[in-house]
Amino acid sequence: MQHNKNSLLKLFYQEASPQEASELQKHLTDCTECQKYMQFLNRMGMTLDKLPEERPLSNTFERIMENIPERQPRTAFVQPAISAAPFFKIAFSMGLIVLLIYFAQSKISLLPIWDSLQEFWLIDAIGGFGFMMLIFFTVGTFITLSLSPILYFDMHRKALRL
Amino acid sequence: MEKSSDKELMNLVLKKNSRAFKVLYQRYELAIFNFIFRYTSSREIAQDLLQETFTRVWFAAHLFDYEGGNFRGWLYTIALNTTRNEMSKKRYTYQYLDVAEIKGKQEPVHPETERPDSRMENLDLKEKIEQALEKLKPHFREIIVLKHFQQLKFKEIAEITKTPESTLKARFHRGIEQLRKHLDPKEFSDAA
Repeated sequence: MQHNKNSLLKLFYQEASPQEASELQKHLTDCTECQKYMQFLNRMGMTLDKLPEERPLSNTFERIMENIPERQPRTAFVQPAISAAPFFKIAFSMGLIVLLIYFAQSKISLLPIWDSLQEFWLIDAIGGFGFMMLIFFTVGTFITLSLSPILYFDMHRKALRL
Repeated sequence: MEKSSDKELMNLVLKKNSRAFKVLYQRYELAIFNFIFRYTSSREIAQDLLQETFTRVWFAAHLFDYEGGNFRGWLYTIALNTTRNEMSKKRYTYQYLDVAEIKGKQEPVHPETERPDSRMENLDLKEKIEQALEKLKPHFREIIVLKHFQQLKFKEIAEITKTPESTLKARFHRGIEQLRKHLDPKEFSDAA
């Protein structure tokens, strides 16, 4: 058996399994290096045990309870329900998306499949550009709705700093 | 209520039952206070952070995992994060100073009974250990406090600190070795 300080640590703190412990005990009878390390752990342990247990103030619980009504739980959503910033962000994103779709549609319309797609009644009704907008927002809404519980939970945890 | 399990009590704390909260507090106040005290080496900070830890438990009761969660581990995680946050603030940089030097400046010197070079020898063992612990880097002190003083299993500490067990054990060996060096070299010279 090799000298393994981690195993000795487990033995010292009684975390080794019975089989592991008996193997280590056997090894310890022959190995002076490991014996020395165990003695070191014993001595350090005994030294640290000389520190007495400390006690908090006796009225600590009362102080905690006194402070609780004053303090509001820390949650992430303390912003006003409506603010101007999201509207600017939405307007900017929409503009960008419309440009992207327009560019994509102009490229797709060059493909041979486009002629057969145009016969589809929905495309016939709302046009190629409108159809692509519809697909884009449907997929986007689906992704946002799927992710929102995760994002909410994550923000909530971060706000409480747990 | 005193005989209820931690989880049963937490279920009541979730419903804002202060009696259940008090039982939980009484069950863990000494462990958490001593953990923070040994970590920060300050009674005042330990007192404040003990209050802060339990206040967080009250407000975050809904975040406890009532199915498979371990309350003790969860509580230590909150205490550890609270302490780490507080200690990372600049005002606590004193931890890296030479504590013996500070104490030397504060304590009156009695030239007729005490030579300056023997002042360290006259400090009792308790103070020596506290000073040695204080000189350790926070991650070494953290593992020694959690393992030796709090008697947590390495597996539990790994969950609390989110650090692999092998890393924790390596830190423990290095930490205990450094602690030996900070303690009286004569007393521990043949130890390791």
